Amino acid sequence: MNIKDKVLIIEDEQSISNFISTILAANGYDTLAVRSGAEALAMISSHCPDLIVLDLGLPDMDGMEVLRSVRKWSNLPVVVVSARQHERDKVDALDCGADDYLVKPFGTAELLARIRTAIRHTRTTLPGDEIARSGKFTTGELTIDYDKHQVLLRGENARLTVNEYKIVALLGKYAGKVLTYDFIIRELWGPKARTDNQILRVNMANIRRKIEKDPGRPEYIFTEVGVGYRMREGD
Amino acid sequence: MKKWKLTWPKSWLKRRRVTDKMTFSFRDCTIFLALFVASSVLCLLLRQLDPNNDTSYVAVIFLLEVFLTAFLTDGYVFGVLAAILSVLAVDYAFTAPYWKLSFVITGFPLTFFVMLFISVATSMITSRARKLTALAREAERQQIYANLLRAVSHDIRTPLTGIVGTTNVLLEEEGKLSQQQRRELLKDANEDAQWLIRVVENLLSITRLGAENTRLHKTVEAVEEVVEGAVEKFARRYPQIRVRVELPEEVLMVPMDPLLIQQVLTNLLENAALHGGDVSTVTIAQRRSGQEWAAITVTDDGQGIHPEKLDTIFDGSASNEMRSDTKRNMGIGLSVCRTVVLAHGGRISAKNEAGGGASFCLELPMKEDNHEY
Repeated sequence: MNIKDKVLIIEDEQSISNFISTILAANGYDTLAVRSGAEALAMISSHCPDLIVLDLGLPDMDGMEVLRSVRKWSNLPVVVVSARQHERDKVDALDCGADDYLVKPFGTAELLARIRTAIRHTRTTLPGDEIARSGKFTTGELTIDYDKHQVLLRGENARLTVNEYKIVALLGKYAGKVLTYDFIIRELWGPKARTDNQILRVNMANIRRKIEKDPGRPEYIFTEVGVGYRMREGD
Repeated sequence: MKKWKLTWPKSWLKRRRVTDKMTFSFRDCTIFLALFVASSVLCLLLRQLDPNNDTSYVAVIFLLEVFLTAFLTDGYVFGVLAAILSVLAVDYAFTAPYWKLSFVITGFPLTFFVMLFISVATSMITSRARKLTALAREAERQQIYANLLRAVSHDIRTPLTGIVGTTNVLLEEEGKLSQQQRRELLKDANEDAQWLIRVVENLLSITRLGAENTRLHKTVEAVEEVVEGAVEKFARRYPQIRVRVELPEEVLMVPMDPLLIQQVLTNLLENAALHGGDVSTVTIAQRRSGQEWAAITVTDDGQGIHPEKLDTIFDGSASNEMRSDTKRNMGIGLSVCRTVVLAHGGRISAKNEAGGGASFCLELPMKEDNHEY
């Protein structure tokens, strides 16, 4: 018998909860659904789900509270689905430890892809085991060689500067996840760095001109406008 | 043409308002002091040059000073201050006995009252003119909103009718429908719902523009990243249309509300797909235009815009002329484009390309401007 991944859906809107449940069940997940924050907290500790799909607008409390209280004791992946589309809400949720953020309305294919990524990340524990084992991260024709501090494109050195390499290396470690501007700046230039992220943008523009075939339509590093960057999943 | 403009530090522009007539700001204070010093210096210079010791020009110069102060500052405070100070200055420094307050020069009360009167009257006229400009602005805004609302209610009602209709058929006639028919109906309902999503996204953009008088929340963004998001979304919705993105060598960094500009680009791209007529490729290019502007153009290879519609295409009124049962109108989309771009202090225009196809161009200022009104 197959042991399936268990997904807890925290969503007060019946029709949305139903359709998420149906699509997940059809794709080989076990699902549980609750409609309030209090129920959710009880279910999380008693059922130990493998992943949580969390709506932020719950009737009894803000979804962010659920997220914070889960993050106090667990790394279990949380995918936020919300009608709040403002960049600030996304950044807040990601900084609080959400693994991903989908704005309603979203397509089912997108939801499934994000859930797969989030579950894969907990299995390999961030930063990836794969990188730890081989010293390399590969996606498509792009390889990050962590031992030699190089980024290779079709086997050739892409000649990134030190800062550019650091940015790509960081995104590679968390491939598939959105990293917020603040997070990247903190990791690279320390907590005291000025929060001005223009240097980061200019660096990213240069990186794209070096590694992307068509920099206007990137295939490796994507922008989440107003929030941060995401590296394509590793192979 | 370049307009000469003085830029003030933002904090100086902050007005502390006690009542409408009593306002204070560092900007006004500076204007008041500068004018006063300037006229005093001018009078002193003239006295040096003039051997006859004729002082008739003094009152005229200070009269002008009082008038200018009242005209250039907000409220009544500085105008009145200028009047009082000028009378004292005239008495103290420019009429005999010099460098002494005498209060006995002939016409002292008359000078004082004339100056006070001029200052109050000027302040009154200036503030009334400002109120009128504000009213005109508000009326224009109301007009834009009314147009939008008209376009929106149409854009929402049409797909809703479709969804309610098809789902009703599905529920009531379930037994009589073939598998194929059911699928068709569901597909229609889904398409209508997608359409509604687009309308709502545009509505959200409008709410982001905010209530009157709030300024846009701008951050400095790389244009190419904002374009990237719009293109990605478009490519998912219309996989059959090829999108070419042209990048300049330099990164264009522009202060903007990125989600709003992304919405503008999404609307322009979708407009090309829905109304371009046989569009196979859309090109989206970005470049610097002059020193201070960034331009983004969206060009398609379709049949172009009907010349009669070119002038009114962004009005939101274009939808009125079309058959009202057509779903395919971008009334709301394009008027949202214009509203957003204008709110950024930018420009948007449409034209037909020589080789056929339509081209939309939006230009955004690359520098933050500080103007207040």
